[in-house]
Amino acid sequence: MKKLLSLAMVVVLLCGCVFAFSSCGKDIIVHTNAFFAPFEYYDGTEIVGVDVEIMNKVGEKLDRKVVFENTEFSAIIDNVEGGKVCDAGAAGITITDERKEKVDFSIPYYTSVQYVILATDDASITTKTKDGVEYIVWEALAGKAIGVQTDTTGWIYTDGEINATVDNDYGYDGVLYGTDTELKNFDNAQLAADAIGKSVDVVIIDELPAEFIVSKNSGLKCLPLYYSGETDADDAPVEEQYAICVTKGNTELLDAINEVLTEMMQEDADGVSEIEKLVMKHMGMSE
Amino acid sequence: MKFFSQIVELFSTEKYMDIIWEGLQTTLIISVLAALLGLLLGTLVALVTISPQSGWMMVPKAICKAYVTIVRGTPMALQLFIMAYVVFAFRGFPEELTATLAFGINSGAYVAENIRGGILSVDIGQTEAGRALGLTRKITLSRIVIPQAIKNVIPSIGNELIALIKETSIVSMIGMFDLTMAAKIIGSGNNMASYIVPMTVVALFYLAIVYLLTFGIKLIERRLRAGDKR
Repeated sequence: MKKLLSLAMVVVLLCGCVFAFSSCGKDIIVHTNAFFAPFEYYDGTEIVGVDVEIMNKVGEKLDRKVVFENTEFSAIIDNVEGGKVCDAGAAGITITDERKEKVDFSIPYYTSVQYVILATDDASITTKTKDGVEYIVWEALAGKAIGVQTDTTGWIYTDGEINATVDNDYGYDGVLYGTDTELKNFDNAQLAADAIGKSVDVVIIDELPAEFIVSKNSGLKCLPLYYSGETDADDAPVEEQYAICVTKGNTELLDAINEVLTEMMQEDADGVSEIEKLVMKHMGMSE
Repeated sequence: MKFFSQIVELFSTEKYMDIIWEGLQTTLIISVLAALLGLLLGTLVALVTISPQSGWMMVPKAICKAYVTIVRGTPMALQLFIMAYVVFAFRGFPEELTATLAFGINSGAYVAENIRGGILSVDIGQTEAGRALGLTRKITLSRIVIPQAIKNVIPSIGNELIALIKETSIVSMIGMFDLTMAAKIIGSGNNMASYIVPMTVVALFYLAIVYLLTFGIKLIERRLRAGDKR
């Protein structure tokens, strides 16, 4: 019996190795975090979304199969940097200088701003209105518990505002420094949104995922997050740009992605690009 | 009552049940294979650890000791992470295999200690009697000590298997589609957009699996204790 068992284990191991090496270099393996609708999310047991459609086009161009694998968002950049388990990362990843040091980014294909998700009946946070747009400035979040998805730009910004002062490594003054504001990390934004009114007061996440979550939860609303200027007229959000990243030096794949993105960002006669159409299509599915 | 209507909604929506089924399969595959690997590894390590001191046995003994210390001394989540992103960081390496090996190796250390404890719990007089009757050390161990030890070991092995099944829930950390990931997916933005209900339902599934296992272990225990006068 024991011999049989060990034999079975060896067979399984060998199969695994054969499988591992046979698929070597053929498929394009893309890491993502499938909790970021409309860019990537699970529809049933399949990962779908804007990024998936973009990468499938890249696969067609290179005549290689594209395989999406779900992983923690915070692990994607490191996995792509190592290049051992995947070729590319497509997860609505914002271009930042720190990430640029580790991976190569494609041309940006979408511009987003950060949004704040809060309970509809939360009157403790003062909002401002400018040109008919209601928004929240960072200062209004002082003393609150802020929920974020680990390693997202929402987390990077909030961490900076809370912990930065000219005297430490950050080298600038954070808006919320010393205000007793709390930062709480979650695996994904939905989990953080579930905690609103319990362990957190607000959640900071990118625009479209915020709207996606709010459209599904009647008790929540979302507003853009602005940085205060000298006067109210100068209040503005920080725009960030999404791009797809590849392992450094993989120019063949990067060129193909850039080609596909350039094609897809071409505006048609109505001034709408294919990317925008995809975003609308996947946002529509939520309703 | 939104909670209960959502539970009904989850069970009556085919899409959600498909997701749970997919996750359940992964959880069961990993649990069963890892349990088998753990039992095999644990038995081997236990036998090596309790074997008498002699010159050439020093090396395997030291290896087993280091194995048990390291595996029991570090968090399972960390071991899984290292397995997935360092040791088996090959392109297209089946993640079920990675998880099976990670959990099997982890479980093996605990099983080894359980078995060692079980063997030590058999009175030394039993071994002495066997040896005095002229049986070899091997025969004494396999015919006299181990049959008695098994009875003592079964409850703690059962404990370990239960812990193993529930611990597989952390494979969602490396993106694997198990029961916990199924709950996360059903709870994500495009589906139910709330984690509480799917997490509760998945907890029921874990409870059902563990209950079935406990039932099986009870049966084995009763069978083994049939001859005991208690």
